[in-house]
Amino acid sequence: MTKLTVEEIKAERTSAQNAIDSLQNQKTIALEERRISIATFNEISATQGRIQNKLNELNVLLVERAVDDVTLDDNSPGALLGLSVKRLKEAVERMDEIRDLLESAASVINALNVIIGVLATLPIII
Amino acid sequence: MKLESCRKKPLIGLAFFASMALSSCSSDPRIKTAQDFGAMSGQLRDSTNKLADDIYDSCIRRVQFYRTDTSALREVRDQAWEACERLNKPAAARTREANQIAIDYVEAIGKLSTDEVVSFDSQLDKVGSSLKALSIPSSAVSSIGLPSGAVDTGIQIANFIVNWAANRYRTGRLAEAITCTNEPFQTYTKGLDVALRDGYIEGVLRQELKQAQLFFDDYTTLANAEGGTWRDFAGLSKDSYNTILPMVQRRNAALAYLSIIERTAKAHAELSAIFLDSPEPRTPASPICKTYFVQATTSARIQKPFEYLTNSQQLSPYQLMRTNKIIVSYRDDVKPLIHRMNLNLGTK
Repeated sequence: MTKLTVEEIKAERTSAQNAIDSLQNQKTIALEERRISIATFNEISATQGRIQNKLNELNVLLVERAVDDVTLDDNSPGALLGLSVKRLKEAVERMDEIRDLLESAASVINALNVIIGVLATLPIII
Repeated sequence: MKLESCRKKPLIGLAFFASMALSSCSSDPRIKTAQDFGAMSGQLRDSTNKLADDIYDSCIRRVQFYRTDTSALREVRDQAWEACERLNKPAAARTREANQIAIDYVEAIGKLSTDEVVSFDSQLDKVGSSLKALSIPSSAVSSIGLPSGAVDTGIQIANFIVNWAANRYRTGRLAEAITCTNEPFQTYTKGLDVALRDGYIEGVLRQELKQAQLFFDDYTTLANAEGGTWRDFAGLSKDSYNTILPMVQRRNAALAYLSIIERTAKAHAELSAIFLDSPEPRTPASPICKTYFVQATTSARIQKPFEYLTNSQQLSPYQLMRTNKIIVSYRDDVKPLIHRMNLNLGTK
């Protein structure tokens, strides 16, 4: 399928929906008036089913096109949002690093305390 | 998410610190707005996944409303089934991913806005305890430690300085993120709206409803043509109601979700206007945003955590009023929409 715009896809979809409705009206009235057989009625139902399948393709295409429009290239809104998420997470990580640094400071002071205690037990030679 | 707590230690004898402490905790209403903005993301994630997945699930449900009376009808049904796997399944996965990007962003804003991110109380308490335990021998039988009061005061000062600097850094990063991402976020949410409103609600879901109507209408017409009884018609009518009800609920849930997305985009734009320190809106092409959106993480950028200081650290009374209004209005609008969406999806 050629690359249709969102509006073109919507126009094709409306056309398919109208065709299904029109066939529904025609076959129902025709069977009620005994102008067609049940077999013909069923054939028309199969035709409607094929249009329904086409309609599903158009609906999916519409979803895909809308998503493509905001995500596909490197400067797309989706890509920029992704980068922004990365930047925000980095900022949180900076804060975590400062917390780690402070934890390390406490550990260093504790270690220093132990070393001072050991040094105090050594004989002092003047 | 913890929104309200902010542990403030008394700053004995240092009156000027008291006023500065107010700015070091998240009393900044911009931060509180960003917190509220992000708080909704967790509640949205599961429900939006269900809606995206329904692009496939709806297709499968629709297949059961293809008639199978003749071989031609069965063939069409089989083709429909195959298309669900080939087309709808990957489209549902892509829509799910697209929704996640928006929610990840909102969540990241909320995460950086939480008080825990800029709280160093626990670590500084440990430093204080370590300093108090420090024992320096003064003679063979005694030792001296650091004066407890001096340690407490020193830790309080350190706590203030670290919190103050961290808050400045955080406010700067949030300002960058929100003002630079606003334009892409607005465009992105419009794209999501097209995908979900036009593609899912008015497309896939409407088609499921139509298929069910055709199915029941066909059998009503056939029953009529073959002299069906009133019981046949009553049964068909009841079945069609039971079938259509869940579809209507899905539609209502999706409409509520779109309202949430629309409202979130509006709140983001309002927040961006308040964070912005210039009259011109920022775009990804603005110099500061070009740096912000640099693909590779440069070491120079991340090794200077306190370089991002905004020019507008203080809000005017008018800005304060506007920010508070955004918080209240956003929360009041979105909470019932989330409730309505979850109710229709049967999740709560």
